[in-house]
Amino acid sequence: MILTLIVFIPLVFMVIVLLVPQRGDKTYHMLAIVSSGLQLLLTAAGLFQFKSGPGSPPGINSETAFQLVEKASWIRIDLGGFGILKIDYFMGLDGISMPLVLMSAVVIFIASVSSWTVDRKTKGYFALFLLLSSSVMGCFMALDFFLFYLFFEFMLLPMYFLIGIWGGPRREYASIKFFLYTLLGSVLVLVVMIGLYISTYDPVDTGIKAGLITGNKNVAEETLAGIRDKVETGEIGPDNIVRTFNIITMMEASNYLPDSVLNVGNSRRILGVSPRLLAFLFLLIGFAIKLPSVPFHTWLPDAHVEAPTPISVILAGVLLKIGGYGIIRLGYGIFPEGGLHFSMLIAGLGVVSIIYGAFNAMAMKDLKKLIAYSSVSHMGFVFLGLAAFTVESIHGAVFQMVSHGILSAMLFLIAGVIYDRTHDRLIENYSGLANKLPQYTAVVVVAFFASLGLPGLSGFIGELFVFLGSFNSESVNNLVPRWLPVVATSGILIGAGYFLWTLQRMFFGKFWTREPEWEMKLADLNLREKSMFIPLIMITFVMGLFPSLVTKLMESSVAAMVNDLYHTGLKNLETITGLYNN
Amino acid sequence: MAGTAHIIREILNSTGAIIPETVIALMIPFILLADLFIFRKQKFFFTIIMLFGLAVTSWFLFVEAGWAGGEKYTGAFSGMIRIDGIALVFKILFVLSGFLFVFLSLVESKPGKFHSEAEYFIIFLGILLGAMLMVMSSSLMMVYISIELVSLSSYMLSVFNFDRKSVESGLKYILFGAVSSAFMLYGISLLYGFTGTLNIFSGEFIDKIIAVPPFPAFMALMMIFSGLLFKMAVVPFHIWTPDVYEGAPVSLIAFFSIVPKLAGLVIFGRLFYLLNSLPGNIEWVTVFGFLAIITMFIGNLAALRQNDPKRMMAYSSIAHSGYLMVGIIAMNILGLQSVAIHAFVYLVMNFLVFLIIEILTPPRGPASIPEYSGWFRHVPVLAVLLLVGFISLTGLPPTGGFTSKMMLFSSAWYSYAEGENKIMLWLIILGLLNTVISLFYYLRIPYYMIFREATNAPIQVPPQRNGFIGLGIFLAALIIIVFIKPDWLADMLNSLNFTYPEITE
Repeated sequence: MILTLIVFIPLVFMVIVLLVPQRGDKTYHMLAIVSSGLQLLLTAAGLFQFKSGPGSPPGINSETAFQLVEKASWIRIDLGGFGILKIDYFMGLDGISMPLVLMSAVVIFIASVSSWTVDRKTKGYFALFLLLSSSVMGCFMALDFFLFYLFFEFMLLPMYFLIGIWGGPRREYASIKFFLYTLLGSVLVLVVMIGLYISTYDPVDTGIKAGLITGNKNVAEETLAGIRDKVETGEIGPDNIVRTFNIITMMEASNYLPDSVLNVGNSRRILGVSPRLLAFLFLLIGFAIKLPSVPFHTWLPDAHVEAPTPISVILAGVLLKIGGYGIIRLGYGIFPEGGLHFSMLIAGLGVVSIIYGAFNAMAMKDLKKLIAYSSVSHMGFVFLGLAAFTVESIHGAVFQMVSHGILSAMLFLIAGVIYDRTHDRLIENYSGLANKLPQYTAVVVVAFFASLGLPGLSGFIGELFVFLGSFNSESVNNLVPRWLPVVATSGILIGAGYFLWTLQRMFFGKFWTREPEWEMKLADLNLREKSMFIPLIMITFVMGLFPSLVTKLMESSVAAMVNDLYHTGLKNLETITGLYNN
Repeated sequence: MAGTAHIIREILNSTGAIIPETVIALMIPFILLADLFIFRKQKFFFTIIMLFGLAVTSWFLFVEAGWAGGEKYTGAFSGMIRIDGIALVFKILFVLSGFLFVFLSLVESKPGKFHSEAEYFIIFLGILLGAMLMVMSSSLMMVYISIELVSLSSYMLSVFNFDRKSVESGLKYILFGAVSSAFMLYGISLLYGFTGTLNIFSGEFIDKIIAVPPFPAFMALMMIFSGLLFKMAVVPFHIWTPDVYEGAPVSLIAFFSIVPKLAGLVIFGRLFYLLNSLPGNIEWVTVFGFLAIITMFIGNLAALRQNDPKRMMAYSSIAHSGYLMVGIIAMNILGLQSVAIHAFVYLVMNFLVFLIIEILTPPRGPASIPEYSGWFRHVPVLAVLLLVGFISLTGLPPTGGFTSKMMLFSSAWYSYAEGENKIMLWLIILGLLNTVISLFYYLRIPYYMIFREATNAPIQVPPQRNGFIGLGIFLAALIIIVFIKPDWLADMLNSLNFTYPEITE
């Protein structure tokens, strides 16, 4: 029940917001805070029930090893000679999604507090905000591809309006660019989704439909094997096949229909490439747009610069993680051989993002744009860590996503603080802010140092794990050559460069602002702002000092990934190359 | 004389098969006479008569479908018509859009420069009757007659505004239409010469076509197809569409953008299935797959630059012809089912959009897209309904447009998996890419309504139109219900035995 509540509580509050008449007070603001507070509490309750540590159920590719599972029949379309199309309401968590859900709940709560200052068209704003917070949470929990896609697409529309109505001067351009880019990504995902559900079937439900078994409880392995044989030989005709959107079912090679395009054993090629590898590539590009990775990142600076502060916080903190999560759950989960085959490409995209993003950040004059490019740079580590596919590097990739969620939320709030006061974010227009705003400067120092990877803070752990893992990769599985992480380390240097340089330019030295009257407006952090920064800073420290609190959640899942998925991937890759050599 | 007696008996036995069409046909003279002698130009009475007539028609359709008991017909009139699942489903869709048309016509205060409401309804009934006969035809002669019935009514429709613009567009349409009819008739006569029969379902027809050398057969069939593609507004036979849409009243356009298109699609599908069961070296799938891709691109790209909502919707309807063709070309049962489901969803969402556009039409005349600026403030509910319609036309969740589009492209994928025809893969990729293009223009009206500040006088919805907001809410809810629970649509199709048209006799 918990997961359903987490997803649907914001929707209930959205309806309340729509029904409460506009009065010009802070009713809607309160409702949003209550809703995301409840979401946070429920997530904490979920964490309480979640089994973690060694020996806990890993999830990943085994349906029974997911936790807090909710499954109910949703859509069953009987298509006559084509069989049945089965869509379930199927949600659950494992070690990969749990930390991300926790982080999202925190970030959404902070964003709802940060929305306190919104004073224009509040009803619409909070209705859309709640809609957004419902769909991003659902995205991390869905284990049915259709459900995932629903949540994945459904956040585009609220985001489009949130940027387009409450954004900055070039909001219209930024919002439509965001929408078109990410829709392009989701169309690629949709192509793969269609291909997958046509290629796979659910053996248990097919058996029930064909009258071979009566219930879906405790079906013996032999019975299942019998059903698979009957499908193989055509004894169970196409009209009894139950096609499914279940992501876990799609991970199992024996659930693919014989001769279906995405069956591993199929020798068909599309444009000279194996369909499965092509499908992985489609997912990779689709989610790389969302992540975003160079060269698909150009929407991000525009969207961030124009979006209002709380929306930037959610965009950077949560939405980008869906790109990384999607490639893990769907890309690596369903097509592990693609991850192994394209490891150089993924690592290369990651490293290029790290360095290119960092150089761009250095050149930016606008504080928010700098932070946006630093996001591109930091998300590059996720790709590098995934490509190396060792225990440490995947830990690092997921940890980096969680840590960046918290840190980017902090960074965008920092940019928001200064913008709220003076409506100007150009770095060159300020100097010596530390004299005037000591508390703000302290927060900035923590956030910047955490982001550039100072030991003891969360950013360090993620990057360290990624580097450790990817250095090892050459000797463990030979996926990523050692020079790539070596090159990537320069990204950290550049990162230190732009963060420290910004700190020096804006905060140190003699106090000066471009417009003299800004001095009056520049007040230090107020209570509400402190209440947002203090928990985030605490989380950063806790994650940096006790990383095992987070890694404990994911260790069994990561182990399952590195063992099961890696071997499945190798086996599939062998099959595929074997088919082509004959 | 025995022959004559046989024919008379056949005709008498067959009359049961066309009861719904007979009701429609009888309504035409009834309304004409009633207009002259009884209810002179009283809109209210005609509306009641129309609704009553359509209700009776749908009752007989239910009987025909077996939902209300009663015998089922298959072939009738010596192979002139044939009632199968496909014909029934589309006839039900036509009558459904007939109902929506009547409601929509109530919204319009003055639909064009008509002499009276009756003329307007008679044209509509002509198109409806033609379309219903068209989907039942099994003889090429019947196809031609019913297409002409639709066409003649449509010609009148396009000039009914009687201004310079509508006369120009009407003349264009008549010329294009006449040429395409001529082509079609020529193609039919060639085929008759080759085969000696006009019944497309007879074994004789197929056997003889196989014997014809490929090139003459290709030419003859292509001529017939061109007439159908003209009705469906498929590129390169689409040029008339925007002009006619711009000139005609909205309610008729909403009806006209759906019914003749679907009727043409059904005949196209029947011929297409037939041809692909023939051995031969003509790659029909590739030819029409290519046309479908071009149609989507031209429709969507041209729509990007339109500033008139009606013209934009005209190009949108061209693009949707391309999407609908995908399901036919896929040549599988999933494709047929998804065509039917997409047709239903398209009908609902198109009517929704036209309904809202009509409700929002200011008294001084139709508004261009930039004039919608800032209207969200004044009519938030209508703006949201319009948004639902456009989101569904784009094909994004959570709307029925997503479900049906996903099914259409699934059928293409399935066809690719079974048959390895490369064009299907391109159809999927380029077709879905078109979704991204179409998003841009479908969001333009909501964009102006919601993002832009008002530049002109606020919009005021006349109070007599307020009642129709309820209809809009109903249609929008229907679109969302199709997304949440599409099971019943498929069950309904299955109960009508909606399968491949097989060859009999």
